[in-house]
Amino acid sequence: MLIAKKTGGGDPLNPEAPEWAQAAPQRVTFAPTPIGLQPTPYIQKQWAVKPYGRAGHAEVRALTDGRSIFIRLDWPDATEDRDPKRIDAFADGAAVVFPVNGDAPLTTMGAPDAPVNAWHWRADLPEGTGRNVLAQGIGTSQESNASAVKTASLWKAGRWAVVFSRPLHVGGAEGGGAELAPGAETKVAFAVWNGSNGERAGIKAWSQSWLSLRVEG
Amino acid sequence: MSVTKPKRQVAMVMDLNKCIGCQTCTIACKRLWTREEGMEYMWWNTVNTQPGGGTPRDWEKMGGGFKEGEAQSGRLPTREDFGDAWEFNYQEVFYGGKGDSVHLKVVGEEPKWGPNWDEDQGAGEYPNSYYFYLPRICNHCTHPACLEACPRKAIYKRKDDGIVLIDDQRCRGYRFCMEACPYKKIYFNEAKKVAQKCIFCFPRIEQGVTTACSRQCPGRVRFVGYLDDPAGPIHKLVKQWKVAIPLHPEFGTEPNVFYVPPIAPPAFDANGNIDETKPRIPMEYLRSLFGPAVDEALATLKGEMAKTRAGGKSDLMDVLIAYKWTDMFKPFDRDPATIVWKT
Repeated sequence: MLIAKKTGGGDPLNPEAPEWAQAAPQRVTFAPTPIGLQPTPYIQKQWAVKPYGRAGHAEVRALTDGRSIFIRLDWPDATEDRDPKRIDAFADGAAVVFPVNGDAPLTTMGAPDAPVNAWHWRADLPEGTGRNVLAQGIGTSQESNASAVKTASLWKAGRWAVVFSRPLHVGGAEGGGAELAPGAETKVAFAVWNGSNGERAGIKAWSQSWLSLRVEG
Repeated sequence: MSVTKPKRQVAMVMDLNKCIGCQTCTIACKRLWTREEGMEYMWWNTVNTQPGGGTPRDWEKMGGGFKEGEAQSGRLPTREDFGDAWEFNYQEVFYGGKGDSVHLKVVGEEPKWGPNWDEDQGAGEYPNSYYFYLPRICNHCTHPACLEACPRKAIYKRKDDGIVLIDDQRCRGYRFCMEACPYKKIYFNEAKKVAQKCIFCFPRIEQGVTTACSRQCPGRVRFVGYLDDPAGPIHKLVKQWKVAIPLHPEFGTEPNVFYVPPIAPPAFDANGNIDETKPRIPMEYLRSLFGPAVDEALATLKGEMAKTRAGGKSDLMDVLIAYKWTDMFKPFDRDPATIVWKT
């Protein structure tokens, strides 16, 4: 169980904030997403023999100040691919995913009657921003409530530290995301992309199944 | 994912016997569609000398498309492969008072390739050297590899005219489409982080106006119309006479841009005499571009030319000569100057 530790003050969006010492890290094991689940025959063919999703694991921590949640991922990546500005190069990325209504299939990025809410960070997005999307199946994600998710990132000595923050209360699916609350428990999953390996879209490392997250009251 | 067959398909035929490589089409397109930031290096329309490296360089060897219906791996071209948008020292030469001492040149690193780098080089040994021009746009394929590669369904083929478009609201810049397109006619906009390509001038087509590249062509190279319209030139050239054929049919995407292959002059023999039995452009080379159908297309063209030379009449030659320019675009023959365009 990942616990979003209650903290007061400070600026937990900053990966170097001292508050992060209060949050116990949880090790999340990553695996490559299954090739058979890639949504197009082209991607399946192109990546069938090419290794991807080799990040191995991430350390995940969470904090809350009672109004917002802060989720932090630390994972190994030998290269900092921020904004390659090349046609043939890609930026690193990370995502946090929640079921919108209690449960949803993670493997398929939600289903028509069970949406998931993903918070995306990509190293080439404007500084501080994130992408908030709702998905009801692979390849269906739609951006919504774009300003709700904030991010901060830091690459140092072969490791990324990325913090996502969002208000706990957004009004559920209509407000563009999964509703969180002090004292409540939800499911959560994670993914990271290694840009220098050409990873993007479904080609990524992921946590394979839902983990539990409790927000301290 | 599969593509729903459109109700109708607009198509283009380019007669390579008329192309003079003037790049008017290229500039017409550039001025109309690719002038924004991030589009500097884009040429949705290119004209290259064949045989040659093309744009992007050696695109024919980059993979993609289909083999026996199965999607093939492809590679992403680099900006250097496309040929970058060079900056020149205009300021220094024209306004810096050094007009007598400094030559106009590219600022920064000396370029090693460009979108028309090997112009007029061609191949063969004198006096049998040869080349011809090959204009290219997006082929708006019937079986678009780009559309089928996209994990976000950001590419679609329009129901009413079969034009293939990228929805830049759905595009996330993943560039699988660029890898999968065997013609390498999709560009990446680094400013907007989306893929972009030829849109077959759909806002013009919707108003009954043909594409800018075809209307501006001084050589009357390009025909535009519906593939299924028996009254239009496209149907006559592609379906009836079968003299217009797709480029690299083996890529498996079924292009809707077709080419009338170049008729070569005869070769010279070792004594410098004209050898009517040998074309100066090797048939093997033409087959490598247009597949085996090129033999029959050229035979038909030569047969009809002979007919007119003997004083006879040929419907095919009449279509290709295009006596009345606007007949080349029917039903898209409306004069764009008669339209008040919303900007």
